[in-house]
Amino acid sequence: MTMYEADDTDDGGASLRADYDLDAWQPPAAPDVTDAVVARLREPAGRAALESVDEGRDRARRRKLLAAGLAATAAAGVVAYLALRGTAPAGAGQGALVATAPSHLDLGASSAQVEANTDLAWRRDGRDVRVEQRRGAATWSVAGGDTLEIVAGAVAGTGGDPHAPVAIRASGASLRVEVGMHPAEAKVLGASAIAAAAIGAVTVIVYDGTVAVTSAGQTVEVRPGGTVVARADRPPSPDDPAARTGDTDLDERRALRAAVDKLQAELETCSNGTAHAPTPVELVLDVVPEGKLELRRLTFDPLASPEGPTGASECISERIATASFGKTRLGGRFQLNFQVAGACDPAAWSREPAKLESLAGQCKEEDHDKQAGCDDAALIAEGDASTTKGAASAALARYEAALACKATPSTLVKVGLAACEAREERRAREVFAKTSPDQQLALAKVCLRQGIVLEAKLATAQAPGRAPAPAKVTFADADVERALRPLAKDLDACHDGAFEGTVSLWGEVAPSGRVVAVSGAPRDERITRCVMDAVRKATFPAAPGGGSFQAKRPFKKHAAGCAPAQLTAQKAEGDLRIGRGEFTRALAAYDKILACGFDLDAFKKGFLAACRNRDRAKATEYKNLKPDVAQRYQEICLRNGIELFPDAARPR
Amino acid sequence: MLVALALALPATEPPLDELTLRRAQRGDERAWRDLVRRYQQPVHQLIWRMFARRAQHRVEDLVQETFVRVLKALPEFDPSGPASLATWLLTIATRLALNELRRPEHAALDAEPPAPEARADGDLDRRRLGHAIATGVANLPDAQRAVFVLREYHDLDYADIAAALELDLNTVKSRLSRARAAMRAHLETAAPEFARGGGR
Repeated sequence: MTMYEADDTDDGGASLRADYDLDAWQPPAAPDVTDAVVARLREPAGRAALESVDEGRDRARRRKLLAAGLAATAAAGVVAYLALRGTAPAGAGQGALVATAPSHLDLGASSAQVEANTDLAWRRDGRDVRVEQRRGAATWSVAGGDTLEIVAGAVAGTGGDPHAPVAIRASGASLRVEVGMHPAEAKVLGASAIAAAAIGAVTVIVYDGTVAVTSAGQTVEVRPGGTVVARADRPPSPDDPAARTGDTDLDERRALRAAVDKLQAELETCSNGTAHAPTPVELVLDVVPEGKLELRRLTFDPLASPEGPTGASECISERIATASFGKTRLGGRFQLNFQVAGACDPAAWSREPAKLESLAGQCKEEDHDKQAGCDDAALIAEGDASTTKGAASAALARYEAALACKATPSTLVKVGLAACEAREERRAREVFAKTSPDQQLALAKVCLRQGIVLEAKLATAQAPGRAPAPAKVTFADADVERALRPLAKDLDACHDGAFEGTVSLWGEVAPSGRVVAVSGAPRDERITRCVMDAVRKATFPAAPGGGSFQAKRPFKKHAAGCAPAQLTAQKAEGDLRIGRGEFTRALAAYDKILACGFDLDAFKKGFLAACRNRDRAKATEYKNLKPDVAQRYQEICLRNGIELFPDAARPR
Repeated sequence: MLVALALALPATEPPLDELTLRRAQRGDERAWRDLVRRYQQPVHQLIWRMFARRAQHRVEDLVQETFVRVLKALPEFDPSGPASLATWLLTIATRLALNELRRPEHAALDAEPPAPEARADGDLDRRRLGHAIATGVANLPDAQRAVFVLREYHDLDYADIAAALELDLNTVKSRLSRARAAMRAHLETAAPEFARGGGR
């Protein structure tokens, strides 16, 4: 610190270090954030941004991608958050399932439809899921960020070789794994061989993505539509379709796949109005056995669609809601990856012609109307750099300059987003009035986080030549409160007690009232994700055009050990210990609850435990805490020889 | 710049070597980890001091956010450019902290921790002085606090502070001068016994 002693004479004043030991004010040791930072960067958006840089694309493109990734991740898309963060907590856990009837197994972002007579065990560690499928059949849907490894058919003592099982590895895929007797093999195997065959043959059918199947030291990659049969003692081999006649499930699945492919072709015609490039879309939909389709997740690549999903989400949702397939036995879950058109499609701008016609015109005329002597791309890159630094005012100034240089819809939106971030409410409102309903929604979300409330008008896009779609509604606060009320316990359970603040949420609701997408401001990533998962279970009033909602969930910091989830755990612990007659331990649990505040149930049970434990001192302590309540329950103490109210009448 | 870099880092930590920096720019996870470990202490110190007695629960989040932004934008960082890596990091951390502090919910100070009892004890004396400094810094306006912390605790020179906060040099000087005057006045009242040579 020697540099300080002679410096800072005139303009900035003399350093205080000459007069005071400023180092007496020391922060606590810094917590190690390395793992958390790397984990956040390893999520899809972070990786995409870096990979795009590695590919050596031009500098302006790189800047745009990075800034768009940052801006969109933080701000824009209704559903982009889901793409980045997944749909369920990716924590650790394990379990086993012996299905006596068809069952659904939810493993966070991934899931399985498990058939009757299937026996499996699973373990989840972050995004890695390891499954031991001992017998039976299951259709697995593996999310893009998850890695699923299935060890199939390896059960010691049943004839299989536990040391050389069939291993199946998948990520971002949909597949069916059957462990057991193959129908074709049954025809040719003698009865004595059936037992061995039953655990030996593993059939893997791949619907989406690429799946690696390993057996007998060899690995084959199975692509969509492919099927292999593997055994522990043989390399995987292609299945003979002729041998699978009579497999109705497979036939059904293939028929469904064909129908879904046809639907996908229709969905690809939806356009993403404000994106400047084709926009990658990932969606997961369920086909229920009755033939209806349910949209489980819809995500847009925020790098390609920095202004959010815009009109494409409505178009896709509507087409899925109106599609219908034939009845099936099992239904299924499908993950689709495709692109929708972007690039200034005038049709997408037609929903508010008066405001947007000129912008649509600019899209068509490319650079013809650019002001001479300015470089809008460079100004936007500077603005993006300032956004990265968190310098919202500087970013706003650069974007304004870029807009003056060349007015484009995307620059206008950047101005709006930066104005919100910089809390320039007047400018944010001006931009808000000039943008499309979808952009308004994105702006409203960003502004809301900065305390500026803008009312998004959620008009529904009307494609040329189609009947007008029913209007989308914005659910009133009372509706939102009603919808979230049944989830109060789930929401409370999200709180670890350490966080204090408000989680802002917004989401979209299907015409049936089911929540189809939720996004949140990641003030605290874990809690926000948990709240989003809980809110996804909410049911809103049905509305023909669907709707959207905004909500805020405040959390107060609790004293150590006093978070609702911790109190619930202590209650469970106390009840368990009382049941086992371990009164000292029960008392300890109830004491912890009461240290957080009075709780009648904990008091009664703690008092009971103290008396049953013949702990006069503790019983007296409880009595002094709430004499009137203690007197009501003194009988239990009297029975144990502790008299706390000698002057009072004995209870009868 | 070299002086600033050296003093912004823990005394025992050398600056990040060029090879590690280049690897980090290419997305090498081990290099990312090295970079975060190397700089997390000064970044934490800066944000913690910027948040002096406000919303301390947000400090760790902002440290994380700083590194996420830095590593995402790292391929764009020019090691031979005007700002050192440390200065660039502190710039982003300062900006994020200032943005966060603008939120209305962070306007109020956290409950003041009790001042240590006066006793002839070196450790306690130091804690009392620390408490007085914390209170003084907490009471500075955000803009002045940023300049004060960057100069007094991270030894950024005026030009670096001006670049970090996007201010002109004279504004930096005037804010620093006001911050120092306010701190001096506060410490002369709150901790007169700790002035070396009677203060100025």
